[in-house]
Amino acid sequence: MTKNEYLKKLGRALRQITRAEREKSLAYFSEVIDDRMEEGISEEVVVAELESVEAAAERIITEARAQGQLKAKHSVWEIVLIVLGFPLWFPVLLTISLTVLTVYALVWVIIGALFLVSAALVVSGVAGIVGLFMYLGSSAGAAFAIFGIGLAGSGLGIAMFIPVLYIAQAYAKATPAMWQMVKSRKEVY
Amino acid sequence: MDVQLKRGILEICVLAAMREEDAYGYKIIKDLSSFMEVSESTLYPILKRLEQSGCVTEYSVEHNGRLRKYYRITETGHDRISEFLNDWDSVMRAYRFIRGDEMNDKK
Repeated sequence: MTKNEYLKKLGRALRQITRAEREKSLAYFSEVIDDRMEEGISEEVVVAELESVEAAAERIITEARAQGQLKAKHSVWEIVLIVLGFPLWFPVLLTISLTVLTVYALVWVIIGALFLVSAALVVSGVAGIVGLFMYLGSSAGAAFAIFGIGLAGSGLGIAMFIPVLYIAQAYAKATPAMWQMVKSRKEVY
Repeated sequence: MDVQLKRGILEICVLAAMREEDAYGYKIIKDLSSFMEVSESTLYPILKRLEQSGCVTEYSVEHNGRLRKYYRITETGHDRISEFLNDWDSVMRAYRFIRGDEMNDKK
C-alpha cells in the first residue's frame, strides 16, 4: 500500500469525526510516514509497519468521542432550516414531482392516441367496403374511390401499428431506468 | 501491563521526551522505543490529550518542503511530571507492601 492509499482509507474510516479533527489526524500520519521515509525506509515498508487502518481509526475515534469531536448527524441549524423552510421547499418539491409525473403520463397519452389513429385507419378499410356496396348502384366511380381511400387507410393503419407498438414497448422498458434516475436525484437532496 | 496504568505512564514518558527540547511525533516514538513500544496510532491520541489538558502546545515548522508539527512542554506539563514522580513514591511503598518486603524486614 502507498502512503496516499493508506491516508485515503484512513480518511474514509474517520468519516464520523469532525472535518477539522480528521484533517489533523491525517496530517499527523502523513508527517510520521514522511519522517520515516526520510530515514531511507521505503514507502511500502513504512506503510506496512503502521498499524492497520481499522485499528488506527478506532484509536482516533475513541479519543475523538471522549473529547466530543464526533460529527453531529444533522446540526441544529440544519434542522431549523429544514423545518422553517417547509412552506418553501414542500410546494417546490411537489411541483417538480407533479411536472415529472405529468410529462411521463403525457407521453403515454400520445402513444395511446397513436394507437387510436392506427385503429381508426384500419377501421376505415371496413368503411370503404361498406361504401363500395352502398354507392355501387348509383355511382361506380364514387364507390371505387371510397373503397380505394378506405383500403389505403387500412394499409397505413397496419403499417403504423408496428412502429407505435415498438415505441410503447421501448417506453415501458425505459420506465424503471427513469424511476431510478428520479430516485437517485431524491437521494442527492 | 494494565491498559490504564500503561496509558498513564506513557503520557508522562511523552512529556519527558520533550523536556530537553521541543519534539515532533516521529522523534518521540524513536526516543521512547528503547524501553517502550509506541506505535504512531497510540501516540496520536496521547498528544491530543496532552494538548487538550494544556500540558503541551504545538506549532508547525517547515521541513523539506512540508510542515512538521513540534510539541513544547508547558508549565502544566512540568507539574504533571513532578506530580507523577511524587505519586510514584507512594506507589513504590505499595509495591514493597505487595511484595511482602516490609514484613520480611520486620522479621
